[in-house]
Amino acid sequence: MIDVTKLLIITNNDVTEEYFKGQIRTEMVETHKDVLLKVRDYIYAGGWKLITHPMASSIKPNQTPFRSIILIQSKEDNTEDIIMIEEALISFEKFEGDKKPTEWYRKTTDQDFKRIDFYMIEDAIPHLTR
Amino acid sequence: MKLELGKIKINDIKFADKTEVKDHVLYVNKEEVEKLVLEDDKLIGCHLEIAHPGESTRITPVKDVIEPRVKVSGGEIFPGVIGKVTPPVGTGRTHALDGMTVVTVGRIVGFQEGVIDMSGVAADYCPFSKTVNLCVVIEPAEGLETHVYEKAGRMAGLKVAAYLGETARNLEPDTLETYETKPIFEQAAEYPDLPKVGYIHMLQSQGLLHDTYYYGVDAKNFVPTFMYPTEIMDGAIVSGNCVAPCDKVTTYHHFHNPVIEDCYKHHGKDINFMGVILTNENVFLADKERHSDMVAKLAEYMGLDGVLITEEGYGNPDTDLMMNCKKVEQKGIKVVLITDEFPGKDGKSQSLADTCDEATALASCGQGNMTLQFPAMDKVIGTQDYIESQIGGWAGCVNPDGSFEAEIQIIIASTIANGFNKLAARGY
Repeated sequence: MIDVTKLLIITNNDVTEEYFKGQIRTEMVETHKDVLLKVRDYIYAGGWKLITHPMASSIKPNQTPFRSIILIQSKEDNTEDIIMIEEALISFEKFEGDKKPTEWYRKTTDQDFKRIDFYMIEDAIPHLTR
Repeated sequence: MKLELGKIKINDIKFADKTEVKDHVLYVNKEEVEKLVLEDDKLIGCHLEIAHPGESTRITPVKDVIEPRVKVSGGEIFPGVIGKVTPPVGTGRTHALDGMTVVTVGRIVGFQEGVIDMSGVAADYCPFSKTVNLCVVIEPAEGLETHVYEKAGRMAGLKVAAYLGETARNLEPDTLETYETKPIFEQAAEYPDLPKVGYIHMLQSQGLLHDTYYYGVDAKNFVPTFMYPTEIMDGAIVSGNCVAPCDKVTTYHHFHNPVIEDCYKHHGKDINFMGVILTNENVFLADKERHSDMVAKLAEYMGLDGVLITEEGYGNPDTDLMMNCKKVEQKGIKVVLITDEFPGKDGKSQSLADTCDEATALASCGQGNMTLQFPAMDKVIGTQDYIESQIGGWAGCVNPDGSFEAEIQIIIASTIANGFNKLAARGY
């Protein structure tokens, strides 16, 4: 069973932040890339491991503006976590094209992307403490 | 388990007063089908349209594609979802309406539903450009949560497919195929000199709009298990996904899983096909580790010499794929991976988001980042309003005349990662 007080969520999704308020410590950043970079920095600093995979499933990194990743404080070796977050960053760079989303695009899809991102980790507390 | 699968060839669909099959034509009572769909108060609109191969027709946004089937004996179709959960399926006799599909159409989320073109260049990339399609265009009630609407859309398609499947119950099939997999010791003893081969089938299970159901159970809630290959032909697995269109495994594809069909073709000739290990794709890393351990344990327990593995999706599931590959290989069992690729538009970057030393054999189903010019169509079933935000499209990709440029990711099943597509590598 996992100690919830040792968890940390890095996110740029306000739905995630709002839901976990008072339950899991959450750090808000601005963009999807900022989420990946912040997670990378924690892992390299040491003492942190990934709880969730840094990439979404089937939504390529350039296709969603929102991402939430859960970390845990841990003294265990985190070499595999380093590889995983670096691969996520490589993948992000590979897909980040010049197709910047328009206002219309953001208006029609932002809520959907926020929900999909949030629902991936919605059950984190019952799941991790069972 | 032994299943007889009878196929009734359908050459056309027409609207009529009575729903029935006559001389290879499916006649559909439109009002009855619309009423069936609208029994669900979460849907306020439903209309049907027919799309034929070769027509200047575009269907979008597509949610699921389903083949009508009926269980003549041995359980009920789509067990745990439409039919009774017991007895288990995969035995007895099943009839299928071959050459046609039910396509559910309507916006679920703003980005993850695909396109089917019935003619033109994009038709070459899509298996459903060659079938006659009954399109069920649905409209949700105001203010529904996305996942509630997804379920209503999913159930609408399955209900219509089961309703149409009933027309085949008493028909004489044009072809009758028999598939059989025996209990493990008997199966191993039947072809003792042939290599024992299994199939590890990874089901998409990453939460909202990314779920798959096995006998009605959400795949993210199960641990890896054994499945007789014939169960899948009776709708034991149902898609609830709105993942990227190109590698979405529709319910149709579960019926027609090409790995299972091909393993049966080789069964008793050069391999002994022992069955399917079903597993899922997880969000939490601990679940990935636990379930890949269990997959390797099952593969070892079944005494397999080799396995084929397929995944659904890109990114995060690549990690499950590689964990399965690594751990199964470490048991001394040979692994061949089957997947599609996303190497960037120029095709030169790393194709998967993860890898391992043990991944030495892989069959590619094509790459989804290639772009294509989609011509304007005379008729659009559904709406083109969301093309720019659908996966594979981008802001400004649609021209005023309705033509557009997009990556082939936007086409349903164009690079489907189990090989049911035109881009699959084939041996001759």
